[in-house]
This record gives sequence, structure tokens and C-alpha cells, in this order.
Amino acid sequence: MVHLVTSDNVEFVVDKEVVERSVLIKNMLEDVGETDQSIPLANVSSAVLRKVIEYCEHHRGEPLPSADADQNQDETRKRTTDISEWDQKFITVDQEMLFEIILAANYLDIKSLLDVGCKTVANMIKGKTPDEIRRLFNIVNDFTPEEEAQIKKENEWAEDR
Amino acid sequence: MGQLMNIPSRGSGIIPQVDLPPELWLAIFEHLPLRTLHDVTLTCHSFRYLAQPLLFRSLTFCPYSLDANNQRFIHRLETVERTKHRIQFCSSVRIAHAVRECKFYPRYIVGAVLNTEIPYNVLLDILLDTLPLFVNLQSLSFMFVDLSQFQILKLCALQSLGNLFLGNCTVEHVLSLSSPKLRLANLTIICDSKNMLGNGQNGHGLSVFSPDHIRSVSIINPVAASQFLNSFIGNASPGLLQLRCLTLPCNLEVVRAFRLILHLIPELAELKFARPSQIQYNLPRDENFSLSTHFNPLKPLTKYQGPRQLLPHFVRPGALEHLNLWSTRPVSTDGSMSPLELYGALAGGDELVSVCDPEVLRTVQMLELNVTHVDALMLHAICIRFPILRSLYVFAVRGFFPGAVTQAWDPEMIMDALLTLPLPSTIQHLRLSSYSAGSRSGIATEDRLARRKQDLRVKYPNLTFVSLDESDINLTWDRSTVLLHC
Repeated sequence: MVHLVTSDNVEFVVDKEVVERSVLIKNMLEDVGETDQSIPLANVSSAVLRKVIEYCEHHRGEPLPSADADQNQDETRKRTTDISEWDQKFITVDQEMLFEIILAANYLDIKSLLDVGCKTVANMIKGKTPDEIRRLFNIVNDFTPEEEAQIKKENEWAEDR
Repeated sequence: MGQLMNIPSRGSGIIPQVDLPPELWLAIFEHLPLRTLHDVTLTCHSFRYLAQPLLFRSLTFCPYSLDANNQRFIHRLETVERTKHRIQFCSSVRIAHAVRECKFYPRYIVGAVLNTEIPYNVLLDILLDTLPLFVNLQSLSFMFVDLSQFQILKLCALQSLGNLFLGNCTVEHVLSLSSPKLRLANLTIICDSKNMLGNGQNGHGLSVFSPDHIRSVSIINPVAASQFLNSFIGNASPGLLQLRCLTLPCNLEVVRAFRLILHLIPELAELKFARPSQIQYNLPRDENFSLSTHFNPLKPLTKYQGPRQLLPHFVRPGALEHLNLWSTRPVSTDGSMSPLELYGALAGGDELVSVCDPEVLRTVQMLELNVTHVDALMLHAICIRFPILRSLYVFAVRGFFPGAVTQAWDPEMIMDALLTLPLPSTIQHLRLSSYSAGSRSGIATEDRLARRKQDLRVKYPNLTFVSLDESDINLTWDRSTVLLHC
């Protein structure tokens, strides 16, 4: 078992197999060896770590993506925003928690969870107008009409016409 | 993730309660389609700096046209000017790092008049000079282009390039190569026009590809494939030690040359023979493929796609997971096997068809077959020979074969067969695809079919019936149902 302490000072005791989905923790444990000492996670709150552990528990035993994964596979993965049914239910949280999960997955180096988080935000953006995207993320439009016209013109170079 | 540009600070653009760092926004934007990316660039300065380069990940330049004789020309001078400006914009520091893929293709313009005043490749050199600025460029494709020695040497400077596609191109042979060779992982050469094949000097410039790095080669042209294979025969080179996936045309000379270099490709895992668009009567018969037996140094393949006649020559038992079989018998017009031929190959009993080694077949998890039609005997042979099959895809041609009307696809017969056959318990995906050549059934038959469908649902509770009608039986494993049963 591994002891984890969150930023709000809550201790979690988790199965080694479960928590090793985090490459950060896996590497730490490999460096330190067997220990009863707690691992402090200064960037993760207890509410978020609870969700992260729930995810790791569910995906226990699944193969971890290898570091030298095929580049083509990686490109295919990026192009799709398909999320499995369980992951979709798991990630149905408010935007603040969603961003916290993404930050935690990035910090703990859990590639598959980071992927689910990023795809979820991408799905939220898809099909929205610039104005709707601004409202979604509370963004202020800082473009002048001239700048906007310039960007549209530049974007045209992406296609061969 | 490739190289990132410095971006302006987020400033007052975004005021959410929790924000994400730029690299995570970028990871999100990488999942977006181009249309949405365009809209993201118009939201605020920060998002624009992150998202706009992603619009340029894949660039396609189509400045030249082809006439009916494959003569290449640039239709209008404006095209040259616009393409120059476009290349210049894409090479800007802010955009260039995002380019992963670049294509230089002809465009088909209806009614375009051959214009001989502008050289068709005037823009090719500009592009080749710009490519080194695309520091993360991985894939490059050319179609209907002649690459000179000088231009090829420019390509050799692209050390990050992993994939090269040459469609109907000639590549001049580089006689003395001082620069490092192209370290490609994937090389594809397709050539369907005799005009584009060079003479001894103008072949496919294979001398510039470093054999030490190639993992996948696909050459769909007998001459180019022979050139490629022959370049290794009698050569002191250690061979293609990284090669894992090879696609060759189904041509007897190519197959013979290929056999001579088997010892030079020890890691080969996937072998595919490209299926000709039409099997000619003068294409190899069974007896032509009776190549002399010799020690097969290939390790057991995981994937084989090709005629059944070549399977025994290249596939040893132990590892085959994915099998795609077709036929080269002259009786077949498009590579499809008759159920009898397939039965003979799988179960034996046909003196004209050599039977496949059952040990080779028993590890197969995905089976794809091209047949003239489906019958119960054939399905029975599949059940016997493939005990751990997970996916079965059978594609039947429209009934353009002798006796099409009488032997046509019969959904009722197939459903009966599926009800009685011992399909492996491992099956997850099943698709039998065909067209009904007979007349539509009457109401009495419709009732019978409905009952069969119901029976099938009872027999395969873990399979979802995506479609089950006269043209297509498509059953797919329903994961949620399985979970419920667990």
C-alpha cells in the first residue's frame, strides 16, 4: 500500500498497483523503494485525488501506454474524440473540477486520464462559434475588427485554393 | 509534442477560476477539427497564438495540372504567385514549427488548357528550400513529380522526415552521395503509368534511402519492386534489419526476387501482397507458385495479406494473428475465392487446391476473406480451423460469376448456418457482406426470416445485431451487454 498526502493534508492509502498508473508516483516508488513514508502531493487537493483514484481503480490492470508508442497511433488518437461510456460518466463534472483533473493528470503523469480530460474539453468546444467559446471559458474578446479580419485572411493560407 | 513557440502572456483575455497552462490548451486543441480550430483562433490573442499554427499541420500544394497524357503544366501565372506567398507565410517562424505533413500534388481542372510557358515545377525548388524550416516535418508526399539528383540531395537534409510517399514519380539515381542518406521509417512507392517509369538512370533513386532505418516499405509496381529487391541481392549490406512491414505487388518475378532476400529481413512481421484490380487469365496459376522449397528464415509472421497460394511459402506457425486471403486462380476475375476453393484451402479435399497448414491458422484472431458467395460448407470450415477467432469479415462480390442466380446469397441459409455452427466462443465481430442476386422474398419468407433473427438473438446474446437483412449480416460485440452478464 502507498500513502499519499494531499495539499489540504488528507491522507489516502492506495493499492500500489492502482497508484502506479501515475508515472510520477511509479518512478518515485522505484527510486525510493519500499517505504511507509507518505508521499506529499502539494498540487492535488483531496477532492481531486479521490476522483483520480476512482479512475485508476476502474482501469486497474489495463496496459499502460508505452513511452515509444507508435507515432501513427498517437496521431490517430489525437484525431478522435471518442471517450468510452464509463470514462464519459466519470468525467461529467463541473468545469472547475474538470480543469483540476486535467492539471492533476498532467502533474501525476497519467496519460490516459489526461487524454480523457483533453478530449472532453475539445468536445465542449466543437461546433461552437468564437462568441460561444468565449462565453464557455469566460474569455474577453481582445481583438480589434482589423485584427479579426487579418486572422481570417491568414487562416486562408492553410488551404490550397 | 513538437517545439513550442513563446506565446504572449494570457493577460486579461481569460479570467476563469481555474486556468490551464498553454501546453494543456494546446493538447486540447490538437483534438479539434480544422473548422473548430479556425473559430478558436478568433476568440482571443492567447488562443490565436496557440491554435493558429495547428491549422497548418498538414499542407497540400496543388499548383500544377495534368492533361490526358499526364503532361504537367501550370494553368495560370496567378497560381505561381499565390503559391509563393503561401509557402512564404507557412515558413514564418510562428507557423513553420507546426507543419507535420506536406503534399505536393497535381490538381485536376476541368477545361484547363495546356500552358507550356510556365515550367510545371517552378515551385518545387522553392518548396524544397523551405522544407528544412519545417523542423517537425514527418511526412512528405509527391505525385507526378520528377526529382532530379540535386532535388533529392535537398531531401536528404530533412533528417526528421519519417514517411515518404512517391506516387507516379521518377527519382533520379544519385551516383555519389556525400550527404547522409534519408532515414525514413516508412517508404511508399506507387506507380501505375509506364510513362513515369525511368530507364536505367532514372529509376526510383533507391540509393538515397538508408536501409538501416526503414520499418515499412510499400511498393505497388513490379518494376520498382524488383529494383528495390534486386538492390539487396548480392549486396554486402547487412540488409533491412528494422523492416517489419512489407507490401509488394503480386507478381511472380517479384515473389522470386523476394525469396532471395528473406535472410536480410529477419524482423519482418507483416507481409502484404497488393491485390491487383483485376486478375488476368495469364496471371500465375497454382502450379506457378510451386516455388522450390527452401529453408524459410523468416520468423513467424503476425499478419499476412495475399493469395492463399503463397501462404505456405512465407508463413510459419506460431504467431499469425491477422489473415486476409484471396485467390489468384484465373477463374476468379477479381481475386475472390469460390466457397469450394476456400473449403479446399482450409479443410482439404480438393486436389487442385493445396491445403493451408492448420497450425498456421489456429492462432488467427482476425480473418478477412473475399469470396464469390457465402455458403454453409465454407462457414463450417472456418469454425473448425480458427478456434480463437475474434473478428470475421467475409466480403462477397455482387453475383457476377457463373451460376450467380442459382448460387446467390441466401440470407435464410446463412442464418440457418449461424444457428447450427459451432462458432468459436471468442468471436466478437462478425460481418458477412454481400448482395442478394435473387428476387425479393415473399411475405412467407419474410416471416421465416424474422423468426430466424429472433433465434439468432437468443443464440448470440452478447452480440449486437447492427444489421441483419438481405444484403448484410453485421454482428458486433456489445461491451456493455457483456459487462451486465458478468
